[in-house]
Amino acid sequence: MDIFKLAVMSLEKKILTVIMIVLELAALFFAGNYTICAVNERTMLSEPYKNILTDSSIFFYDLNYSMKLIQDDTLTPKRSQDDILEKLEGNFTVYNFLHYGNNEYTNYSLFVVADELYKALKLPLSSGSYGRGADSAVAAMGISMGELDINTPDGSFTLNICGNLTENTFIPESTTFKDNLTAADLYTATNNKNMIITSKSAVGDYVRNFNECSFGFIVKFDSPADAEKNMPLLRNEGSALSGSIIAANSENELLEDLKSYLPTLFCIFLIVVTGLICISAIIFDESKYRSGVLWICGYSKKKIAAIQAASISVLLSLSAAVFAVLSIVLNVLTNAGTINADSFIKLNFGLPNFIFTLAVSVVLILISAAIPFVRLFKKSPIEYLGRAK
Amino acid sequence: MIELKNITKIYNPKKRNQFTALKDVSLTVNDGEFAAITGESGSGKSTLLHIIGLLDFPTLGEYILNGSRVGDEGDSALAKFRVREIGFVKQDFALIENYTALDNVMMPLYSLKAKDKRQRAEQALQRVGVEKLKDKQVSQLSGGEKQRVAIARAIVTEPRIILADEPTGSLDSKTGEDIFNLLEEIKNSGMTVIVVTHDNKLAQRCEKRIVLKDGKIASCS
Repeated sequence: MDIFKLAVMSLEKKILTVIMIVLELAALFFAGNYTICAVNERTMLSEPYKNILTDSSIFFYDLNYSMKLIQDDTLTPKRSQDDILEKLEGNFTVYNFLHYGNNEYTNYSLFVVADELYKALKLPLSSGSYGRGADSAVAAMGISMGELDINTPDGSFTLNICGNLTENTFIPESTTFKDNLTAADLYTATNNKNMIITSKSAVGDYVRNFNECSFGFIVKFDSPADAEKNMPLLRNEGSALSGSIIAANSENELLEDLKSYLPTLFCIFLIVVTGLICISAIIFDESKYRSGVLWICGYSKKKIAAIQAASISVLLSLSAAVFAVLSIVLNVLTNAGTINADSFIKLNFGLPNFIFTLAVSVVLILISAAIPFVRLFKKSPIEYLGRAK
Repeated sequence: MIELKNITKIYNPKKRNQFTALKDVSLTVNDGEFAAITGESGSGKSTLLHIIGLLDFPTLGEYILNGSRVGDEGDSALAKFRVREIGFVKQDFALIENYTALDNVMMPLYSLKAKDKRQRAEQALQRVGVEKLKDKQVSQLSGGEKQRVAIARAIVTEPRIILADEPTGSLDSKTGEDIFNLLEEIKNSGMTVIVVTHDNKLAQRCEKRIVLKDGKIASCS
């Protein structure tokens, strides 16, 4: 009988054992991959910003001005973005964003960015709804999944909510309201929920005005030298900070955040390793007798080890399938809003997941097939059948 | 012809629990002979049989089969040689319980095509008188039936040598007698049959009796 057929035959006769091992392996895959996805989620969201927040970019913000505008309850800008941009030297690209908040409602900030920035960010979709009172707001907002409806005295429009920033990126502390804001204030980590929203040009002037009200933007120059040249001017107009500093601080905060998970990661690692050893022991124990029988039937040690490895490969494939189905179901439910993504799983897969899954598979095959194979070389498989009395 | 020259088998050599199972054993079994290996428990009977069957290898000594030294070949070559030349029957049957009788008997025929495998296996089962049980799971068979299936598996490749390690040890006397008769039939068909047995009555039915004591040959008649 060929190797694969023997491997499958041995499994189909032990359904309960197979189910147990498959579910255990799937759980191991899930525990490990979920942890990695959580790390991915943290790191993935900062990746796109690395292209925008560099030595060549300057983050400009005038919170004081925005707050004063809101307090004045008017949307008429008293200064123009163009007035500042005209003074800049060299070539540059402007990325607009909106920061909305006031003293009472400081639990989230809102960013509106141009389409090209959104594409550069490549953020994963998230879902969630943020209720928002409108009493003290300039505009009443009803945020639902995927869309932001903005109702203003001048009309209403809808923006499309496309992604979720983490608190590890550049987020001005909206509760910070003081004169003479420093650069450090600008990137203090907050618990704000931030949304990236793409705005279509068809939305019209209102969005532009809204943007200008908050008076913040990122300017990306062609070179670090150009950015350095323009920094004093922007600092004169408001608060300005090199994009690279914000990116670096975001990375540091991300690392610190990840470090706090080290005990959890270590525990999960121990669980995975212990689980692997136990599963390997079960598989090997189940197959010992069969190895002895195959030896009597004239199978070489290499072939016996190959059959063992084939059995394990089948188990791994079944486990991977269970894990894949579970992940797909969870992702579908998350995207549909059935599960609240903020408190549950965001399965953002990446290369680390592939490496982890491959490593688990290789270790399992090594422990269950290769190491016993080495042992087979030293002793005879006949011993697995016991001796006659 | 089977020739063993100065065979010594030491388990766990150079370790504290070193154990010498066979000491300087030499014997010859001619083609077509029906030989019995007897002795007390722990005398090395099974070890000797395993070495003859190339299921285990001596620490010292030579094994010559049909004029050629064997045991030095690579893993794959040895496995092919073993399946071609030797069939093995164990006391506890050494069958995969949740396979059918036919599946078990087909196991040594891995080099054949599916159709040929099935045909040969059915023939072997017929020869031992259990062809009607071919599609039954081994776990559903009686001890005697299982041993017949095991013998069918041993002869399915038409080997020259059949080695049986206490083939009647797990069976009642009547069934044991039937199995021994079957082994005699196989011997009469031209195969060399070597049996390890505690049963002196059965041993006396063999042409050659080899008695082991403390890993050495006490007598050979």
